[in-house]
Amino acid sequence: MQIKEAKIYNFGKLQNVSFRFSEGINVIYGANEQGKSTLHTFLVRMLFGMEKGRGRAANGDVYSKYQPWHAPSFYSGALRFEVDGRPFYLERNFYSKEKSDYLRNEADGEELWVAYGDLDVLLGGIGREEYCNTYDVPQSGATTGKVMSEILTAYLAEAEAGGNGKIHVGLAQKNLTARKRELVVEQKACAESRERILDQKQVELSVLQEHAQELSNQIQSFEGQQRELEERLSAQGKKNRSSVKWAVTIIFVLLTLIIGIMTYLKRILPVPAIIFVIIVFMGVLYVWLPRRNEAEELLQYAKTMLNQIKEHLQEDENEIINLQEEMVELQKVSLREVELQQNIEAITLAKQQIEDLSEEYYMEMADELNAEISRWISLLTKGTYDSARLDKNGKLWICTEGREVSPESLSYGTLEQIYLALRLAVGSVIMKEEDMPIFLDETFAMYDDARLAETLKALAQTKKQIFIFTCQKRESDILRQEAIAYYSVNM
Amino acid sequence: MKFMHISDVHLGVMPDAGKEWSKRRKQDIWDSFAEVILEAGRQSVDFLLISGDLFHKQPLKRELREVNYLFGQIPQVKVVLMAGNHDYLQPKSYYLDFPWEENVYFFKGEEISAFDFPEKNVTIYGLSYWHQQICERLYDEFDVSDEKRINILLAHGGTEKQIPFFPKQILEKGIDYIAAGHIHKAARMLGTSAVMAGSLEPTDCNDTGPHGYWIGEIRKEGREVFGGLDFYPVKKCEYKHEIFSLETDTTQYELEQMVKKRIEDGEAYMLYRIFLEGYVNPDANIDFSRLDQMKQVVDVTVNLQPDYDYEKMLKEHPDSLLGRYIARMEKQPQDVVTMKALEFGVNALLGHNICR
Repeated sequence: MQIKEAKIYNFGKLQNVSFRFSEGINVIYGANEQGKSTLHTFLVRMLFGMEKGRGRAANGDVYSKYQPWHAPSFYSGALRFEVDGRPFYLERNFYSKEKSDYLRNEADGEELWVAYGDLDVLLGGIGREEYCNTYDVPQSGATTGKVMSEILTAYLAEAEAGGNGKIHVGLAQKNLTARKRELVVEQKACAESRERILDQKQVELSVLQEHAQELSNQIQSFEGQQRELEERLSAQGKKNRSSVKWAVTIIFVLLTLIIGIMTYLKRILPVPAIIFVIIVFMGVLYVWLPRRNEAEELLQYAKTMLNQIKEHLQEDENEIINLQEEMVELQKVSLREVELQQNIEAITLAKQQIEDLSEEYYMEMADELNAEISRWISLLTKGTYDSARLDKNGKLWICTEGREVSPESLSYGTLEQIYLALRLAVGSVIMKEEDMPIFLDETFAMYDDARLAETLKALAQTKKQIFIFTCQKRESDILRQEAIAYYSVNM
Repeated sequence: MKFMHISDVHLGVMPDAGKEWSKRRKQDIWDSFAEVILEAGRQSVDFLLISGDLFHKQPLKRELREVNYLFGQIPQVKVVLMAGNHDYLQPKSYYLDFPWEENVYFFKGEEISAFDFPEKNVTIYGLSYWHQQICERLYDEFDVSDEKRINILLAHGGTEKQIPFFPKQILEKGIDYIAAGHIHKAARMLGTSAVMAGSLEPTDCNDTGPHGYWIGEIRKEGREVFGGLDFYPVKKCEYKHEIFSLETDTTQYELEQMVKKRIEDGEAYMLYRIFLEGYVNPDANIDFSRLDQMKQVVDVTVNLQPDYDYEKMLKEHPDSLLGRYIARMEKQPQDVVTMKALEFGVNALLGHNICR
């Protein structure tokens, strides 16, 4: 991105002014209180927007600081810039009650929409926070490795994938975890509802089995009774047969004979004799005729009961078989459960792979980043320190004379340079999509002339658009001395 | 000789558990059976052949009494039946000592035996299942005793675990008609001489197509066999599997109207399983459960792919996390889980719904 022109209608102390800029180094020179910082803030806010803080946060925030005193509703300006050689025009009104923006491709006149992310695309997806922590370098540019590693992590987590919109690795991971949890809950619910039905069937089954057991017991007891009764009856039968019945019969035969003889001998009249014989005969009949006694009735009852109970038992046994088969069916997992299990496994795999990949990606980025930091440190310190690395915990280490030292042990000036190197290195990694301009606001106040010269030479080599805001003539002088082309803006 | 052939009635089954029509269907199956028996009487067939699985489970005594009563209504028809793999004979089965009406002939043995009807010149061979699975080829192990009779085999199975058999081999033994059951789809296995009756009514939402009963006639003069055979559908219920192909721009209402239209074009007695195929915009978020709740819909199976062009994504962003993820997942052994993982991971990375 190249910023071509800034038109300020009303922003802080600046009103109706416009500035033109050139590619390469722009030195914006002005004495104190001339509006250098206002211009700097305007440029950054034009690109990245500005919201009014709420409540107490509004006190002393950037919005209030640069709010025009006399015409608060006319808090606006415009910017011309180029992206990949295409010219764009951006206009903003920052006034919180009438916030508006207008973006246009000046080559074809096509209107674009800030609200729909068109500007974000032009900025290569870089957010204000990332930008302010890297290419927007303030007076004391101290930053920590921790902040840088956070920016890198965040960058990775929201790494852009070109035309497909943003890839949110962090969000993706979170969503995968959440969806997996939902699926596990559903899976459990499925299993539980099956279990519940199975439990019900199990209860039915045990009731049936208990009942069947009871019936078997009854059958046993009735069979016992039946046997007992049968024995008793057969014992009775034998007794009857052996003693009484035969005795009575023999007596009857004897009596009949005696009476017959006596009738023959005419001792007895035939009629009473016949009557007598009939009476005795009936007695014998009485003895011999089968009689239903109590035992026999009981036996009959036992037999009927036994049949009925056996039938009940058979009914139970059939129902038990049906229930058992039903339960076998119920134990099979449903299609949905199979699908759920597959989905859970797939999500687990996807999550694991994305985690591995983003770690791999981070490690690669770390290599690239360390090379970039080392290059910058070497450039800025003219080879005094030639390598540095950011460790996993975000701590920066400087290599000197074969050992790693913490930057805090170096001189203040060197430290400033190292932090600048870190900002530029991280910036160049995260701003690969779009080469953004570098803002240096009184950054070199603490540099000696030699260091400043080295730093400016190094910056000139980057071919990036650079804005140096300064209240001193030193930068211009050195640039001239070193024969580095620059564009001068006087406030 | 005129006969009616039915099978796999599955009395007692309750299809589509959880659906509002589930109970009605259970009753419908009983009713259809009763109606078909009366129809056999009206058509004055000589034999009613029931090729197994009359009951879905072990029949209870009262159920057998119901069935026996119905058989008693058509005393002039000889009912020949067997137990199949669902209502197989276990030692306590009521089938074993049930006092059938005089016109009912039930095969009790697990080996082939025969009922001979000299007055009709018919012999019917058959057996009953004593187990849920029988892998032996029991129908290969018998011979026809009199080739002049009209010889019928009442068979159940024909699959790997339920007495496998080849109709042609059995017909070569001198059988004139194989009255088969077990497979629920009605089909002529070999012309008019071997028929898989199919279930009288569909008993599961995967029993698609028409269901019903067969009526046939066989005449035999010497060894020449003549006959005809017809299928009569019972139209109480028919399941249909309907596939809908979605385009990436198909909307919720469009889909609902497509389904509604297809259902309205069909008969009122039809029930539908809906299958959705094709590609869908991952942003579309169509609510498929609304289809599930439509009348006459049994269930909805969603086999939709998000319309990602993985190769294109890979080519456009080879070094981005997305590109690397696609490349890595494509290198994995391709199975259901890895293919799903590819889709879900891309969904997640692009911020779409992950999965159904």
